[in-house]
Amino acid sequence: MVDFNNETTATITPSALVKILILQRRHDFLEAQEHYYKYLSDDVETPVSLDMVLARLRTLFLELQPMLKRQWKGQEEELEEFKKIFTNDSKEKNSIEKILNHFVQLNAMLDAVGLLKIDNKKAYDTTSWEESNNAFKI
Amino acid sequence: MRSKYNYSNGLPFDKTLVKNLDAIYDRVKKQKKGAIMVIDGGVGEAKTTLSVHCADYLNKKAGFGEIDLTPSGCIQLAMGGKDFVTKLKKCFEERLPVAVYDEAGDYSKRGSLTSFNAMLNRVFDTFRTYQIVVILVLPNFKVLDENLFDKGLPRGLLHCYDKQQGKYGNYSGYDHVRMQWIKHIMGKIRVKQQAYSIESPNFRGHFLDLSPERSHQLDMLSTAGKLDSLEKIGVKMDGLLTYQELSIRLQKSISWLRYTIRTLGIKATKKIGLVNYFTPDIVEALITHVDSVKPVGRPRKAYPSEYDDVLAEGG
Repeated sequence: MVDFNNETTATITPSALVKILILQRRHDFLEAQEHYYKYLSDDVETPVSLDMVLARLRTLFLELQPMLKRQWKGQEEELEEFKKIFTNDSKEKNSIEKILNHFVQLNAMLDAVGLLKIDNKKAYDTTSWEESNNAFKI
Repeated sequence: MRSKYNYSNGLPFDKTLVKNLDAIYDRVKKQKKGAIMVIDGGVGEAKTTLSVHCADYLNKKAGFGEIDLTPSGCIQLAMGGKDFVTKLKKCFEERLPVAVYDEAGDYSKRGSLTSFNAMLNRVFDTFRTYQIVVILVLPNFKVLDENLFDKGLPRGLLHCYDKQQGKYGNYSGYDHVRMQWIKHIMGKIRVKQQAYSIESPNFRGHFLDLSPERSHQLDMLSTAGKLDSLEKIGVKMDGLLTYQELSIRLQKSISWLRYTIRTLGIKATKKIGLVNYFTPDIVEALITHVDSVKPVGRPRKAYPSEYDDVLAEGG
């Protein structure tokens, strides 16, 4: 969590702050869709709203928008398609599957830029001396 | 089919070690790079047995039979540094893929480790192109020179421990990086053997004994090397001296010593292999001889001094 009231926050570079904010928004979205499914399975009479899920996706989208413009150069149609889900007229048509599909797109993009890529350790057979030595360029 | 001396894969050790031996063999034969495999462990943990198993496997892989363990024909298992250099040369001449150095014949000599490391460094500068896998059998691999590690020569370590007499032996395999870490840890802690438990191995395994016939041959070889060393220790404890030691004490050349001792008719007190040993009394005899002997050659001419005239006049 980024605390803008804390003085030490000013010492952190903007890029590091933005990274944390993006991850935080992403986490919020995941939490929202988890709640949505939870209430859906609780068999409650009242209809379950997608509003919170959609709102959190929108926040994540807005956070990423400048980057999306650069990353999706030449794919303006996709970007427009993305924007449509936030307009009121198309709200009825939105389904959780559609929202999740869009989130998957964003997730893939975040992975491509290295924000989610944590499996970058070289995989090798640890029971082999030579493979292990070669991994350390020995 | 599993037997007393082989597992179901037809070998006395498991497939993980096979994979690693294959990789070392390829490194030496295909990539034409130098490689040392180290086997270490406490006394009586069957290090030499495991080294023979590994050498047998590599030999068979290269199309040769099991290594010869008879005293007359054994050229792939060397007991001691000098023996190793001689046998390594023979291995190259006969295009054999592996040579084993067993430290047993060297352990008694003070400073043998320094000369051993110097020898290894020299050997690996010249013998790399000869494509021979070298297996070193040592009580503790920490004695290996840092220079060998800098060159990346030790490719793996098999640490033997907890042998179950009559059943099987155990080993842990460590790669080069882990070896370096173990070496580092050993320098930091009091009980050096604990370092093997602190660093986790790449793999662990068991190995079986040699057949009774080969086991007996190996015992004979190994014991011969050790007896030779023990005999040399005995000689040292008696205070007997070699030509080299006499040469240092008397500040005379070895050839002078050989000539003088022969002239004086002094016999060696003991002879082990090619080395003659003499009692310390010989030093006194030689010193007396040096004092009594006139220098060879033309007698020195007495040149007249500038004071001779003065002395003659009685002044």
